[in-house]
Amino acid sequence: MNLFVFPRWANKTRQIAGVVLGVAPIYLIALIWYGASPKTTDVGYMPEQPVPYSHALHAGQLGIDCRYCHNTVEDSSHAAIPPAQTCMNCHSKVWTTSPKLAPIRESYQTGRAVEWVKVHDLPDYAYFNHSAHVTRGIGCVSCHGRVDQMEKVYQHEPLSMGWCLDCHRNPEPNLRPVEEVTNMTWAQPNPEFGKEFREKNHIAPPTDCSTCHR
Amino acid sequence: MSSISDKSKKRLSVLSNASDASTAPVSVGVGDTSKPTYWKSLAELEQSPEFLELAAREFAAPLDQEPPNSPGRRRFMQIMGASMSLAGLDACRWREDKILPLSRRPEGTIPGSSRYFATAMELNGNAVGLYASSYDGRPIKIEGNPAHPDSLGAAAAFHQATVLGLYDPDRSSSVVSGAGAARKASSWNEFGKALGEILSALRTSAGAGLRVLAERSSSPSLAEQKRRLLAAFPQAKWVTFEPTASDGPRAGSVLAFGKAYRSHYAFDAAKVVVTLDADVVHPTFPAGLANARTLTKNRLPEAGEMSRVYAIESCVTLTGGISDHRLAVKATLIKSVAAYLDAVVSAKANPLPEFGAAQDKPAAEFLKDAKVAKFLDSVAADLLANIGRSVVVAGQHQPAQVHALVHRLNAVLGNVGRTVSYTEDTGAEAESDLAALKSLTEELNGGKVEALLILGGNPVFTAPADLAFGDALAKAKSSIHLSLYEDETSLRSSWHLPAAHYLESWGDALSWNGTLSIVQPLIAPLHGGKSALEIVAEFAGTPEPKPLDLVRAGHPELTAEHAWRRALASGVVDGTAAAHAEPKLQALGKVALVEPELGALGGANGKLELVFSVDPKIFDGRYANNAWLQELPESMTKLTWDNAVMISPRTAKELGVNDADSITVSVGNRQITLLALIAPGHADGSLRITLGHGRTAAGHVGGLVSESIDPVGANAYALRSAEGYEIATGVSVQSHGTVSYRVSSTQDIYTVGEIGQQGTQERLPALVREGTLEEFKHDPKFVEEIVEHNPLLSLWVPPVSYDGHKWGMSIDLNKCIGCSACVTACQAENNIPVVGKENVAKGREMLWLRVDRYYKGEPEDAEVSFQPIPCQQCENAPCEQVCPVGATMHSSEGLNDMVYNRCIGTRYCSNNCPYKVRRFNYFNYNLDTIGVTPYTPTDDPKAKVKAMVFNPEVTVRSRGVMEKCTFCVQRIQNVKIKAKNVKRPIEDGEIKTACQQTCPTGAIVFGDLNDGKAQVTGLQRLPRSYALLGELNNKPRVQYLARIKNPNPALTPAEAHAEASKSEHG
Amino acid sequence: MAISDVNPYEAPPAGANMFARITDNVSRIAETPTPPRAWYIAFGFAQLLLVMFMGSLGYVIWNGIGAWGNMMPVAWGFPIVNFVFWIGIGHAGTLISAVLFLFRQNWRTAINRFAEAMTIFAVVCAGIFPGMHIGRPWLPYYMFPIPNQMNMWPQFRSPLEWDVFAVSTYATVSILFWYMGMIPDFATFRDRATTTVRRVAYGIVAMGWRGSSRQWHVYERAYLILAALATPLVLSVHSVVSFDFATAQLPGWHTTIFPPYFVAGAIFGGFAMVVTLAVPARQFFGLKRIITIRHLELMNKVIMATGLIVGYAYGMEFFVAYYSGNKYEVFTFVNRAFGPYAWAYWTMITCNVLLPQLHWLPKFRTNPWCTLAIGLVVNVGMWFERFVIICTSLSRDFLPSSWGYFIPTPVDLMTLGGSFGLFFTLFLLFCRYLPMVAMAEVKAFSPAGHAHGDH
Repeated sequence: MNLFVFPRWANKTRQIAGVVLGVAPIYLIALIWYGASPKTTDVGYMPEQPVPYSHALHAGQLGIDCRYCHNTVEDSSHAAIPPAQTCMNCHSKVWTTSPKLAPIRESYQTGRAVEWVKVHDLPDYAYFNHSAHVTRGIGCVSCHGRVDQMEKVYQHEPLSMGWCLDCHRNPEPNLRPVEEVTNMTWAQPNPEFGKEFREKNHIAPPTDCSTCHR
Repeated sequence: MSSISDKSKKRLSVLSNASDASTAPVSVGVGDTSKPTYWKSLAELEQSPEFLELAAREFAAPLDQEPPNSPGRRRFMQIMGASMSLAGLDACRWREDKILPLSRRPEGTIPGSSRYFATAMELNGNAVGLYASSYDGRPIKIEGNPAHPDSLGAAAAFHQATVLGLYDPDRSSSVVSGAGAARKASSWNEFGKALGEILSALRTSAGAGLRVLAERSSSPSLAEQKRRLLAAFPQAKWVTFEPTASDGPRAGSVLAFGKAYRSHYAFDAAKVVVTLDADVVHPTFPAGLANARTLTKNRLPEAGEMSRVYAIESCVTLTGGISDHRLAVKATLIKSVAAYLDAVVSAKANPLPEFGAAQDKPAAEFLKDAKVAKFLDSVAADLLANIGRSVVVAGQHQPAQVHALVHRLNAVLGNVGRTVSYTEDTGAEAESDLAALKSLTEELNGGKVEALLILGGNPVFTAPADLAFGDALAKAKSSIHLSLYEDETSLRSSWHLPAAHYLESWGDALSWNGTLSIVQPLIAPLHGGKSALEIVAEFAGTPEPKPLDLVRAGHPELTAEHAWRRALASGVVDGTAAAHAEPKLQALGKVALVEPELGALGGANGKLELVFSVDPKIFDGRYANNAWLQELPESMTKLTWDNAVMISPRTAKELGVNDADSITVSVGNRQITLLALIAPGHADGSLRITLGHGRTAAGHVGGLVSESIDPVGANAYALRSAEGYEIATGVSVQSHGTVSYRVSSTQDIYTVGEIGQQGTQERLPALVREGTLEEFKHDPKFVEEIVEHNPLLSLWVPPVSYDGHKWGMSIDLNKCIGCSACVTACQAENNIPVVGKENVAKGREMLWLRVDRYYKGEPEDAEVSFQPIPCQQCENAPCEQVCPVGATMHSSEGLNDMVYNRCIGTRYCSNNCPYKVRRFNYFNYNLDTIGVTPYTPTDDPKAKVKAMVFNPEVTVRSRGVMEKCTFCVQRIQNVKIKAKNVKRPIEDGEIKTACQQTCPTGAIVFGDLNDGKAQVTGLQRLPRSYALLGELNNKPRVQYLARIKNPNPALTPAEAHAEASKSEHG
Repeated sequence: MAISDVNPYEAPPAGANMFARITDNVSRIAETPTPPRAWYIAFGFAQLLLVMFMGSLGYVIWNGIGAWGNMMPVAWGFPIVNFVFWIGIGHAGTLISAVLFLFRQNWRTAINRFAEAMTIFAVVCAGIFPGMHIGRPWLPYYMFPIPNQMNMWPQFRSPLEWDVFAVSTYATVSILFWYMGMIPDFATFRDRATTTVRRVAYGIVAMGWRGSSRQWHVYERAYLILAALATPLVLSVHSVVSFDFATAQLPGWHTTIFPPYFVAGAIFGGFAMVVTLAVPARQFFGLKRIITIRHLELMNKVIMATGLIVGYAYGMEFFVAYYSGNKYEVFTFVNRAFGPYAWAYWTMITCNVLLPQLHWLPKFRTNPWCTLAIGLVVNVGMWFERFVIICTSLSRDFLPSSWGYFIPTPVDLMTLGGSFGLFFTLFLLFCRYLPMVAMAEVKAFSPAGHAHGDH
């Protein structure tokens, strides 16, 4: 029988194998690093809401302050989603018959909650506290993006652990006067501002595990 | 709003009361901090409307069910607050969460924040004031109310565990009619109809055939309704029966004063305390929690002098544990002891003539024993040396004469008005509970009873065996049983009514000294239950009674809104404590002493005594279905999920009984077989079994034979008869050798053996450091000199500089009484799972905080000492260095942070932990409540109800994860954030760990070691403060205060102490 | 005995065609269509064990590791005992191939090939346990330094982290070493192949070996380098594994004697396993003339020597504990010898220290079946050594309140027994399809090889 069962190119196999084995791990790591990171999977998440509420209109054009609805943000861990009550403060007078607002009116009358879909959804084992951030001068925009320009709210930042740590290790670029936290357009006046503000207010964000995990 | 059923109207009102305007949250710093609005951990689910409806259908009887969208349930959901539900898996993110905000947010409620409401819990006719935290409408944690005289801020294990009971899916959820085979689900409406007929029938006979069998209650409102009922039915009879309430105190007081009085002890004013088989610091003792605080108050060596406690008792009680001297004698001999003391004391103290003649020295055998005589004489001498500054207390289960003798002793010693005070016992019945139940049983058997209304309690299970109450009950034309569970009594009653939990309905109750507290509900009845108050009111003729109205009507002094609000806010109504009485002591004749009261120490088989004691965990059996309590290690035996007969080592040897044998105990012709445990320090010839175990219809936890779930432990009521009610005599035992199953105890899981004994004895003095007041005065530094070691040098500089906070803890072994309330508090606060009997036996219990119990001295008269062991939060933590994934790391404040979501479960940290405080989830112990993983929640509504007890502030751990004490880091974080938000420093004591907050004696102190003025800093600087295993250079942040005793020189030979602390029998 | 019937070595060797006969004799094993019945029986049995192994592991993964007897305080039970046991076994191979090669111990050539194979398979068995014993077996990648969105790295202070690298390095080098050694023999198989399948299969693994002097030159050089690389690993792997215990604070673990003691123990156990496998192999595959009595005797001597070292270590542990004056250390060792686990301790002493002394008798150590018996005994003893170290130390540490007693569950035993199934399955397949003896090397050192030096 034929002594040479292998074609001529088989002589190259070792080189080919070498290249493949060399490149494959790097490729895999890169794939996991980028493919599995919240940057890829979570940013831009924009679920349908039961009521087509436009932040762009209310917070943007009408210029309603964030805290008018999310009024617990300064003293609770959560910026509570407002009760139907809050909507009805105005909408008992304007757009009283708009079909889009039907679920709100229904909720207000029946007491059944409107089922909003959660956009910024942290894992259950991560404990985030809004008040601890806004009272230190971290603006809404830093984590939520330009909500005042969002017709439909979407996730603007990865909200990954690494992303949190970046700011906790160097908060200076994100600091602002406490009265400006809800201002979407405020910018630091000078490059030194963050450093000065941090020293003035003794801002020392902890990076202990127990800061967020209990 | 047209279709509101009456029921939902009622629920609506209760809820609106429970929720906003009419209740007043207590403003306490502790834990009352801002919390996440959305559900953290797995408690998320149970709020979803789908679930609420599911649960409703599950728990409401078909006829009783209201349309899911009717206002009642809607309101219910609103109270539940903002929450999330699950809807399928999204493509590349995890599941989509929903947010359900309140449609109208009640004033002052911040979604996700918890508020404390003051309420009170009544047990055995005595109320203890509590705080209950409400997290978005869910009660999740019980604390003591500092303003309440019987709590002083402390809560016992069974108080803590009631929240678990509230969400127990085994609770009965519907009215049931028909007894035995004829049982079928019914409804309140049907019962209403039936009741109408019954009552109309009774009216004709002026209620001749009506009997009410109630538990002891101090509620003024209930008393008022009772009065009305008896007015409406003059011929009716009201019977009170409480299986664990002894008649001794009442009868003794009548004997001594001609009237029923309650005794109150000022232990903090006493120099000498003598307890006669009385566990005065145990939460089951009247005002026990308060006693624990006052008794330990002047046991501080730093003060220069300490009180001296003598315990003369039949078993090692908690009081005996902290006593300076113990004498173990049979319970039946206590009467002779009391008589002897009276004889000796009166001889020297020349009492007032009207006190009458003193007793003669009893000619009892055991008094001939030199040791006993010497002990009693030195006790008497010590008492006489402290006239007016001593206290003598008799145990509840002791007969009337003993109590009478003790009253006389206190009078003779001039303690009355100084350390002992009396208040009139207005609620006391004329006859004993037992006698009352007896006559009721006879009436039942005589067919005289038309209708029997049983308010709570479980008489079929708890009545003495010889009454055969269960059979008698069947003879009543109609029997109505109101209870939280369908228990043994419900099964034999023609009607079962679901009762409302005390956290579910309005009420009122009095403390031991008569202080009034309003029982304030935090949630609408989950299963549409009603309180005894409502039922009695309905019997008395009030249609559709509303508990709140009944309660408010009962208290004219609180009609003013501000007064009412203050009463609710503080949890007590000021100035309602009963006035001190000055009862006249009557001459007490010579008390009759008969065999076996004159016997010798010890006792042969057939002549043994058996003491029935209330179970420290499941009480009279009513908490048998509470898994937290079942798994709580009993203070002395460390036994869980079981009860045992306790025998002294010498008696065991004589009877040929070995530790953990299976043994049959016979009283007359009645006998039970159960586990025998050898209890060092127990009185020879005395046996002790706790009541309440062996339930056959408790539930899926405590035993349910109908679903072939075996009872937990053995039923001691089966041995109890009308004559041998408190203490049975002439008892015989027979051992059957070792039991097949492994004893589910958390310490000394198997016999330690000779080598183990020696090893323990040798290291014990260094672990639990003890000394006498004399030693301490002579050289306060002796504590640290107990262990010699080389200078402690570290290779590395500390990883972090603790310049911010530096959390530390101090535990005072002089104050710890080993009651284990802290253990349950920790379990409730930190979502610690229950693992069940088999896993405990394997050594897999999950309790983060354990209370170690060590015996010292000869087993016959062993001294016991306790040592609570939480995570020591080492600065040089061995656990941190060995975790390959960095799941346990050091925080900048010196905590060993444990990150569950990073842990992969190598368990190396536990191996390297010298204190073995780490706990591992070998299985998914939360499987039924959280599903396979936290991300695949369960759909079983019952499981979801169970999940409602979870504390949203703490991650619920899943399978394969290590966990441990974190100094309640969630409490630390919340207070820190709250303080920083308003830029103020944290005050000392503002952060309390769960164990610290509930400790009756204040033995545990937590705080910031960087704060020079903090209490914990001061305590850790004391000379008797030491670090456990400090020689390992772990630098633990927890330090212990050595135990200092104050022995009577007359009773301690010089070498006794040294040698006592050497030998130990664990 | 199908093969040994036609075994050319039954006849006295005739120098000239000796190489051919070596080749023929070794290759036949892989070429013969039907292996001896013994092979089938053994393989069937191994399969049963393997199924049991997979079953028990599946059960554990599904229910949680509580299915094992592990508890508190004995949080490490059988799985880690098995891990250390198998890693230990995996030492002899590399020692024989690398160290003895560097020391020019020519007798190694007869046994090095399947000693190496045994090493690989033992490491495979060992490698399964650390991954399986953790609470969340789906997350072991947390132990590898992979960049991630959490900005989290492994904790390099942990000995378990060192293990990850030590063991994986060892496995890699051992596999390379083993495979490279087989290349010339694969080529031989290829050239003798009668079917295309065999020819292609062996052709691929032979990687185009032609036996040119240039290839031989490169081969020798590479073999030397790998040997030099592998030698320190023999010491490093088990030293690092011993750090898991030595760096811990636990009395009975916290001692500096562990690294040398573990390495000696590993070689001890490793050689025991080699003889355990060699004796039946030479019997059934007719390699009596290649793996001679002399080989067995030499290995028995090594076993005896290392056994004495281990015995010395046992004694030394006691002395150090006593000499330290540390009451916890003293207690641990007294408790070991006379406490509740005394039975395990004395089993270990008997198997590891007493019985191997029989090898002082030449009659004994030159008898294959006695060799086999002692080999088995030592394997048992070495397993118990790990059990004693891990379980007795953990069961009674500092605080008497937290003492416990470890009782294995049936699943524990199934996992242990099952791991042998995996090992023997792999080994039997190796015997069947791969060159069990390094033909090329044997030839180099066979008498003929010297008689006619210019081959």
